[in-house]
Amino acid sequence: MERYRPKKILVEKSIRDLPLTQTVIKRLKGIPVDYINRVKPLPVERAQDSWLNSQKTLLLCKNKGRFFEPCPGTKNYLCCLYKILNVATNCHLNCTYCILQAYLNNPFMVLYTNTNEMFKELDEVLSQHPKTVYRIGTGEYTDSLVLDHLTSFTRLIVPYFASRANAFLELKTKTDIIENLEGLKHKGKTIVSWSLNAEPVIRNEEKSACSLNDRVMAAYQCQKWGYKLGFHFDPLIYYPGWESDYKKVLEKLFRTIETSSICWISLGCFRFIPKLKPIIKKRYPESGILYQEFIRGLDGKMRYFKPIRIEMYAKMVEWIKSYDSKIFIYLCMESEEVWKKSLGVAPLSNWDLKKWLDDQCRP
Amino acid sequence: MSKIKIPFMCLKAKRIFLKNLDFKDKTFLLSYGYDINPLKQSIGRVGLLNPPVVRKKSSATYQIVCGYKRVLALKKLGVSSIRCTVLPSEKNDEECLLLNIYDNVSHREFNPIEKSIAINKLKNYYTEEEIVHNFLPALKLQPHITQLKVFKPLCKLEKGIQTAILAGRISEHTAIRLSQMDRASRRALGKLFVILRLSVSKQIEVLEYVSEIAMRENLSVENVISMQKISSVFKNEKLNQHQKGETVRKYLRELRYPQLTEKEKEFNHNIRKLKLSPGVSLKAPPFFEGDHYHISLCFKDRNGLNKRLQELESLLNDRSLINIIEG
Repeated sequence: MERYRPKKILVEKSIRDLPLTQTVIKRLKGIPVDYINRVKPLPVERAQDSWLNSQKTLLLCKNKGRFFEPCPGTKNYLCCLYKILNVATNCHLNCTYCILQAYLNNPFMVLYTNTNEMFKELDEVLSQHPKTVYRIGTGEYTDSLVLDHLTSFTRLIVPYFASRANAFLELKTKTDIIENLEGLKHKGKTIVSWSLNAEPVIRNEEKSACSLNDRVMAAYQCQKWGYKLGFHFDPLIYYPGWESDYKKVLEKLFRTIETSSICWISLGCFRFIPKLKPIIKKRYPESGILYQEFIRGLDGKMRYFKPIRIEMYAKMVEWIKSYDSKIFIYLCMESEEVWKKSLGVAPLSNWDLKKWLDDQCRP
Repeated sequence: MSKIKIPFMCLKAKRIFLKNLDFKDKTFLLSYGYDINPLKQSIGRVGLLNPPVVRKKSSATYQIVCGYKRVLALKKLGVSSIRCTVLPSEKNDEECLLLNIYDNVSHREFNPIEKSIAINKLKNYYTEEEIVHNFLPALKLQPHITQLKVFKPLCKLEKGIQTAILAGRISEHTAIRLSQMDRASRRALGKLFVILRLSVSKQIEVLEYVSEIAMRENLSVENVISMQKISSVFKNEKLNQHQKGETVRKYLRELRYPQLTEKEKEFNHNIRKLKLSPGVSLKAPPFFEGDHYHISLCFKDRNGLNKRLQELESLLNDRSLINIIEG
């Protein structure tokens, strides 16, 4: 996997002296730096026009809004009440199905460097409700580790979570940028997760991300460093022959990783907001992921017709459980009916699902 | 946008031999898909009312700026020379184009291909934004970039498709989708739309079914359209045009969504087996995604309502109803 290296750096003058800004500039010695007042957001359509090119520009700026926010979830489907820590936006891995393509109004790779304010905000939130358990992820608007070779951000955030009683951090990635995780005192409060997929899907739809083997080997290394692991089969992509390809992924995973290290495995079939379809068609005309049987779901997103989803989930659950029946599996954004028909059980509510996942985090 | 001035012109009128007009030079020609005969008839009866506008091209030839059709009609009438308004040779191409556009829009509306030709010619001098705001309203189009994007490619399509657009067989919105496809796919779909005469929304629907089936099955668009079941519909003389269109559309939908359409058939089969009264209907959740079914009852008084409710109650243990709800 080629690690991100911009061709140009834009720096907002207001954060030029912050430590993270300086770290990144030093590590990218030789790359031209422009100091600017601020970048204006573009209409999403305009941002799309220059998407791939603009990602070569790294924007270091201040997050003027909140770092901490609830996962947007989705109407009418069960949500685990995850929380997001918005430390960066965009991702140069450019998976064909990525929702960011239809979502971001700024095509640059953006890193918020006012981390002191982020920690202050986290302190406030976590102290306000000390009895509430927070599962917090940094992988919603970017890949959690895609910039870590430039930022070493994990060296700040992992120890921070180790010191907080009521919060767990999840780092979700498709990379093998794990070197900064070595030797950190994580106290079991950080879960390192990989998004996994069938080899043909990785080859065709996740071209710039790590190979399956590299992802699993990176997970193996983190396991050795004592981290809990998570795996997300999301998006599960349906195509003729998907069964044998996904079975091979599980074989590789369980040949390498001990099931006792696995905190959770999530499953989520490919879904997309309708406006993503023309973007994928235009940007990746050779991609075939849009042409299976999609229907408009209760939340307005396009989803595989329900029997297809149930079939995929039920088979995946059966195969995973054949390795270890105790592995915790959950579905991302699915209905009670789909849960029951594929896993045999369903949480009673979002809060119930949250509790199931919170319990998984605890030692 | 620079301000365009066509100042009051003291223009010379001059008798010019038709052989000196360059008919091959279509730099300013905007007309497309016209029938020359009515104009020929009109000129034959009352003569030429407005002289064409020309610009000197070389010592012996003139370029037609406005009135290409008029000149053509006169040529067909066997006229050898006509009075033309001659523009000074310093008038540049941009000014000549504007003169022709405004000469046309003042007395007629362009057809869709002509609008496309005008937009493409304007692109030589103006940005898209300038065209949208300054010229689309004159072409009777909304001043919006999407309108420009719809009309721009039309004049580059094959003649057969352009003819179908002018005949109203293919909509402009379908045409823009066709323009994004390869030539073979475009021709195959264009032919299909000419035969089937579908509404705009159904043309788009069929276009998406065909191209998505082709992508999924790794076939060409032509392969999908030439499937036996579709070509047999074309030949079926018992079906009228509308029925042919609907049959093909439904067949393509079944191919595109095999599991969903199978489920719909199963649902409708079970509904029929329930033998609901005409005043009762049962609807499935959209795409069978949710878990809420809707029943509607039609009644006019309490007795009627009671009768309907009893009917429904009697269906509670009916196997077909159980199949519908529990799958």
